[in-house]
Amino acid sequence: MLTVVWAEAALQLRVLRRTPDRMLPLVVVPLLTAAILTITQNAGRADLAGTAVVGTAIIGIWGFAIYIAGDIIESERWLGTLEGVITTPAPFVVTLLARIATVTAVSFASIAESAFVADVFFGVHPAVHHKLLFTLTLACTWLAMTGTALTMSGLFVLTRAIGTYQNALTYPFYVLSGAVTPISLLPGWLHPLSRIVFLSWSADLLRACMTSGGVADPAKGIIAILVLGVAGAGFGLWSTSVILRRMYRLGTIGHL
Amino acid sequence: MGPATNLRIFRFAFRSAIADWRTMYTPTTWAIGWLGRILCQVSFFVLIGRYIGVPGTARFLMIGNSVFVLVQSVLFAIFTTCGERLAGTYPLLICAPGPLFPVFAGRSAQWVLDGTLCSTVSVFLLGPLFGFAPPMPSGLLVVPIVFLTACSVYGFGLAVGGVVLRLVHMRALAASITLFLLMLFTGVQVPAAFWPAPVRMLIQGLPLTHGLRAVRSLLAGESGGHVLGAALAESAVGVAWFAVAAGIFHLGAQRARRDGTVDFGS
Repeated sequence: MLTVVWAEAALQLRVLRRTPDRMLPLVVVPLLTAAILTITQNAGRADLAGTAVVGTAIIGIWGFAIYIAGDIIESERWLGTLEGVITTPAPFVVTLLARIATVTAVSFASIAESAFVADVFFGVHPAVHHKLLFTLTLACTWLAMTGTALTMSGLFVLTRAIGTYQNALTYPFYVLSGAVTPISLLPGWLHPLSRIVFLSWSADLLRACMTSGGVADPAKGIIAILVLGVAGAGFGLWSTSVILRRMYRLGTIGHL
Repeated sequence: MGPATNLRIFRFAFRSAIADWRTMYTPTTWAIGWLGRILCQVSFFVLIGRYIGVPGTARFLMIGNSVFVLVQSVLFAIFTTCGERLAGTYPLLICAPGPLFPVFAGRSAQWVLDGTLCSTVSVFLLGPLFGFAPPMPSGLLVVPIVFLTACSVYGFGLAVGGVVLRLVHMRALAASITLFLLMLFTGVQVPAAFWPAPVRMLIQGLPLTHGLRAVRSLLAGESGGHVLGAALAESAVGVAWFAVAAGIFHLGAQRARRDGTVDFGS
């Protein structure tokens, strides 16, 4: 099984290398970082640079996962290779998960990109004050993002207007998850909705790691990310198997 | 070919553009998927303004981003322009006896209407929600200024589309970089004074710069002269970019015929 995982990860990396236009969400991250940093600098709030860096990095991770990981099944179908992938002895879900996890891991480059832009173009060096918690939060975010992207990958197969849905899943989620601004700025009735988006917990923890004070109740945040991530993965596995069964039944693996 | 022919070609191309738009969206997917996303984008930046807590920042970002979202729609022109090449219809357009530019100018014009609508809804819906209601009835003049700005950005978008037509695999990259350059430098997030003098000089030639200034002046209740001056400057920039775009399409077609690369990008 491990061989399959490595082979799929290597395949996905090759796909990304050969199709540079797919790296677009990572091209956008430095530009968005610059846009937000100009706002904070112009307002004389250089102290918010860390928030801007973390926020745009989170946006990069989400955007990359939605655009690329969410598109994997559809791309295979478009290329006419989905039948082949499904009928090989390796379990399809394992191959899919390995590819999505690889894409999600690559998306974490957005953290380095944001920090680079802040450092080189704005001369600000946001420091991570709680390195261990920061790393742990990123690891949990990776798992949760992989689970969520698995759900998207399955659901996107059901629509022909993937682009429309991918677009709709960007800024509404950036607002809802408090990627750059805390969710306390949102109306109270939105708070419960924000809390079921794992990114809201990730953003809170990552922002807290950039402050020199203590982090309030980090275990609660970590558990929330993991629980929501597992729920996302569970739903993703279930929906993918339902969709595959439907394709088998209708004979529409190549075309829905 | 006279202006009447050009106008007729433009009209047919525009009908095709509207049909395209209807295929892409239903009223529901447009309202929820696209407009909803656009309004969230504006809210995202207004919330940053509120988080910063410096008086005037949220209002500045509200107006800037409400107008900027038209760029988001209008730059889809880059994709629809490249779509002619991807669909294999570009060689046919080159072979056709009519001029090329009116076809491309009409082919993506739906995005001007889309952008105008998005910006208008943002100003008049989100503005009051965030406590920045436009003054009435003078605020209604936002609509023609936004439309004028969308037309000006459209000229710029067509020029970029004309260049990218030979590099269609770069279309998404070109559209994103163009979008963010306009967002960064034209006074959307920070006043033009934030940038060094040479940059300030260059952005005078970019679309959106003066249109956005006109909207800001209007909503701040400044004199009609200020608003009109900025609107006229935006018109001049727009006309210049349309001329550049027409030149790019003409030269591109000439070159493609000459070196036999009508169907191939290199």
